[in-house]
Amino acid sequence: MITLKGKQIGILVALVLGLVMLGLPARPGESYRFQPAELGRLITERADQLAPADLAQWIVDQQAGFQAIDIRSAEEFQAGHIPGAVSLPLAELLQPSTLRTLPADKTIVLYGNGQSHAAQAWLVLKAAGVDALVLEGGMNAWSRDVLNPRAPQAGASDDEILRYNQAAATAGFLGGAGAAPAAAAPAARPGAGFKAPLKKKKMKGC
Amino acid sequence: MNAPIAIVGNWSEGLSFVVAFLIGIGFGFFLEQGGFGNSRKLALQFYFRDMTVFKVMFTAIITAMAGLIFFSAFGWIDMDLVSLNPTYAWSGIAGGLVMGVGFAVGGYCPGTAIVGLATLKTDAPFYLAGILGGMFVFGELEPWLHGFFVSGFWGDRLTLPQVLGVSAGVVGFAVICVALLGFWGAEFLEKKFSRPEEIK
Repeated sequence: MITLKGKQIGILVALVLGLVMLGLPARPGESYRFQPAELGRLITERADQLAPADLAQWIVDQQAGFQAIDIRSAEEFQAGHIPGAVSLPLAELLQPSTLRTLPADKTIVLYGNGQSHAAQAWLVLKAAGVDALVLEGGMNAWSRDVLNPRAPQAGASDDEILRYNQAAATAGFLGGAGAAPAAAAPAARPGAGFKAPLKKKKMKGC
Repeated sequence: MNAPIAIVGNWSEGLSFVVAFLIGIGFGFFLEQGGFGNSRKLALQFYFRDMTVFKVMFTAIITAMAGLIFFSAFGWIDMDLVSLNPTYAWSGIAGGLVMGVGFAVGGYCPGTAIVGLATLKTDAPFYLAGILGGMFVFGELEPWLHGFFVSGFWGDRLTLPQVLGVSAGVVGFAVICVALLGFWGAEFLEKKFSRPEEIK
């Protein structure tokens, strides 16, 4: 039998520990770092929010750098959601195991029906080091501003009509009802902007 | 006091100070027991005649490192709560050189100088006065040195696993291999250069 002396035991223990270490998985940090001053600055500058129209544009442009997350219940998500969004109800989103799996290379856009739950989740995501934004006004604002843009009054300027037509086209693209009144509005005038698709899509909003 | 160990997290600050005091006393005690209160013994490592400091320090490094890696893997310690200094490459290199030259000339590093003082070594208070004087001079000159002080910034919490893109365990294994090779090299140098009658 081989007898090991003091030094040899030390070398053997070090090597065994080293080999075990080699196989250990890299463990991500689990702590959350609140940086109150930085959060305060973002909130004051409204750099924590994304306007519904901007989100709509991102979706129309098929931008890849963001992921919308629906923090409402699964039923509400089923009833209608923003195209491309994934459903992660608030309680599930805020599990540490879920937070770890959020894509690090994308901006997370959080939305609920209103804004308060998304804003609360935003604080946790920021503390976890996730790049996140809150959809301004939530699903309610999305439905009001993006899916159902208000038709301009009679005698509206060309600019207003152009803006409305663009909004209506976006609404049509995103499954809103906005496309419908486009034909009725005085937008049919030549040169007043591109024409919204006339096909009426099924309302998918909330 | 930074207390990243889970069970320590809820202790009061006062209790943390008591723990810090006990750890500090323990650190000083074992430095003294290792013979590190003697500046001549410490300085001999720079002549490759007595590599005890190198061996003890490297042993402490791999022991602490293995502890942190395993504790972190078991979920007992959160490495995000462990305090890390930001990395400034150029001032880091310059500071390391200043520290090394000071160590070779004075025979102490800051911790062992305190140990030397505790055991009433004559050179320890002079060395500590030098440390405090140097800190004062640096503090006064910092506005002029600030540009260099923050040069080569590399990251707030930069670690070798991040830089190399591997897990902490891989770095740990590599450091253990380097340490074992280092121990072997140190003993080789000791045999070659040592003149035991000088140490005592």
